[in-house]
Amino acid sequence: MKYCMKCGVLIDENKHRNCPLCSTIILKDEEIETLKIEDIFVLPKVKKTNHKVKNNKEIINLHGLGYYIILIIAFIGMFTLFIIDLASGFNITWSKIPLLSILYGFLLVSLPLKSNKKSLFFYATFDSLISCIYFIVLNHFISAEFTWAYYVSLSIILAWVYLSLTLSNKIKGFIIKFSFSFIATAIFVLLITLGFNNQSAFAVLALPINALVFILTIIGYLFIKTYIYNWFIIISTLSINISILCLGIDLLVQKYVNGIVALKWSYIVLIVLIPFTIFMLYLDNRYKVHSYLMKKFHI
Amino acid sequence: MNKAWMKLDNAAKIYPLVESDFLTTVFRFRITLDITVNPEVLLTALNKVIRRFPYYKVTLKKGFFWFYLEKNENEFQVYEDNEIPCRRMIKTETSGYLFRVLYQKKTIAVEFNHIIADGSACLIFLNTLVAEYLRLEGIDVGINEWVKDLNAPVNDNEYEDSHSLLGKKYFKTHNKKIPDVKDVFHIKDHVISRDLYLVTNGICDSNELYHTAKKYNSSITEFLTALYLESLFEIQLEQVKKKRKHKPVSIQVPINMRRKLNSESMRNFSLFITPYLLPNSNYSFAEIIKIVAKYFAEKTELDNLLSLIVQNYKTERAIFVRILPLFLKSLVTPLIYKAVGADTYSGTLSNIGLIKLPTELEKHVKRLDFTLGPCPITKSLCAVVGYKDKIFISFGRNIKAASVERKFFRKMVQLGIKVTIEKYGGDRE
Repeated sequence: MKYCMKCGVLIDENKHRNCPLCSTIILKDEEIETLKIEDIFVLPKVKKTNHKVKNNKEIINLHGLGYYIILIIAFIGMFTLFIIDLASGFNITWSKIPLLSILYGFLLVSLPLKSNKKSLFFYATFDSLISCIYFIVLNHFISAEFTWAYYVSLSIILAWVYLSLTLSNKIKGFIIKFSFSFIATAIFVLLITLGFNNQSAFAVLALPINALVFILTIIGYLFIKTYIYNWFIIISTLSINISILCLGIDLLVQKYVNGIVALKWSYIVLIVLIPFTIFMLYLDNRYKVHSYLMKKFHI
Repeated sequence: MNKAWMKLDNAAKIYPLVESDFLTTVFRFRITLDITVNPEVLLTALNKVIRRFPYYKVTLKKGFFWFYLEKNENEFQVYEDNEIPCRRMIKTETSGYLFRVLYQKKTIAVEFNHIIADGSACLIFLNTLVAEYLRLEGIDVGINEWVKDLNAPVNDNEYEDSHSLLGKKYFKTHNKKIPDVKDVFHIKDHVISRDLYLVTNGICDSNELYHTAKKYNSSITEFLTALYLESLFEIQLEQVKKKRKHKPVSIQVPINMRRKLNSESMRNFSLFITPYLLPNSNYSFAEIIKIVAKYFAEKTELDNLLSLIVQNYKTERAIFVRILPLFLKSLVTPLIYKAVGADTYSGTLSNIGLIKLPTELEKHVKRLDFTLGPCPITKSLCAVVGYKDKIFISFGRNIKAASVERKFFRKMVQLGIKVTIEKYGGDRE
């Protein structure tokens, strides 16, 4: 018996060449006697490198500097446009939109440069709010109405919900976060379809597809979480979910567009994915299947 | 088996629904003799012994709602022990049986699927088999509590599903929910191939271990559980850098209920308690032992254990569980098992205790090993058995790094216990 130098445990050198715990080499007495210096593995010397560590103050100063540079550029630009417009007709007309756009651009990028202490959630909320206001005002300047900005604002709000759910630490758990995303998407689609002439699209098409995506994602998530160690099951689950999703979308679209329950393109997906899924499931159960086939067919 | 078929016991019902190549639900006991094993004699011994254990002469069948056990008339086989331990029990390979008997030079091993029995019952079966083998080799061997008398009739109580019987009996008086720790830490490492299961054994002197445990006013099980908890706790600190992402660390410890509740059942009759450490605290080893000992004292009180039995019984009897067809159960149960089972413990430590064999048998049995089958979620399992003056600690893992056992055994050495380590199969030719 020999002691492992690192672990301090006893090891039978006749059975083990390495320590089962730390892989330290265990030599027999006769091996020690015949050991040469060349047999000993020497670790290469690690080169010491002096990385320059940027100090925090430097980074903060750079942030502040960037903010002031953009502020000055934005101010000069806005002031010039304003003066030119005013000088050409003693009125503010065409410069409204560029002025608004410069202000929007400035606000969008200046805040992260002004301070890096705020959370990502804060920036996402601020930028989304600014963007919504910008597009609404822009819409008003262009057509004195609230038309296309409605869709743009809704999309920004939906993106903000998705982003907030990803960034937020207060809401925990994939299923809860994804449920919120599902509700937000459903509301978004409902509000979008309210602007269409044919409002049945929401009930017949958008909501069922959204629900299908939601259910399949939750099922997929649960299976992946449970079988994280088994790639064959994960791939089979994804493959089955994609098949069901394609089948569902195809049926719903056909029903909505042509008023018939038929498959137009999803069968191609099924032809590819069904054998693939079966093959994956076979790989997962190959020992069982082989054993069964050997017994049945005396292979 | 006298009956043509029988229901799975309460604890066993989940195993066929979750078993796979990765989670085999198989465990093994192995006895090392001082004589070379003759496979033909071993098979004769097995054919004789099985008459005393008719409840193991069964095969698993699918019903509409549940799996069930049916009498199996297929011939037995004994197998050479040259594959990985605790492999999945495939019906076509084992003639439908839910256990296999293996031999190798001087060793006899049995691997049981948890569906038919737990560790204590399996060990009694193995001891009886080895005793009969020695008798056939001309060595007279007696009996005791760990070796059944082959001439005694089979007691009906041995068939008993004690879980369900007691669950029914104490349903009204012990119907309280036992809170459990959830969403615990699991070792972060990739599961290696399903064809590999790495086992590392540690052998130490039982007196040395006993006296070291006594220094901390604890039993051997409590002491080893504390060591295991501390090892996993440190691994979490190494693997998870962000403190807010730290989770509790807990160990599943089976408790043999036979003595506590005077049961003769030869099927599953164990309960599990899960001592744990909360994250974001610094514990000394003495503090961990105190926590573990306190937890053991509280949770192993009879009232608590009865409440656990009732809780398990209630789950099985829940109407939505009963009416769900088997194919749906097979789909849903692994998800539930992960969420409410495997997510409540970071590792398993099963201590069978000190085994005392009849004197004549003891003369020929040199060593006893116990190994738990793989679990791809916890990734590390520890099985302990005491025999003669030695404690055999066996760690199984299906990850590459031996991080848990390394920490565990190094701690033992630091506490002054001499440990001999060996890898299953060794690594020299």
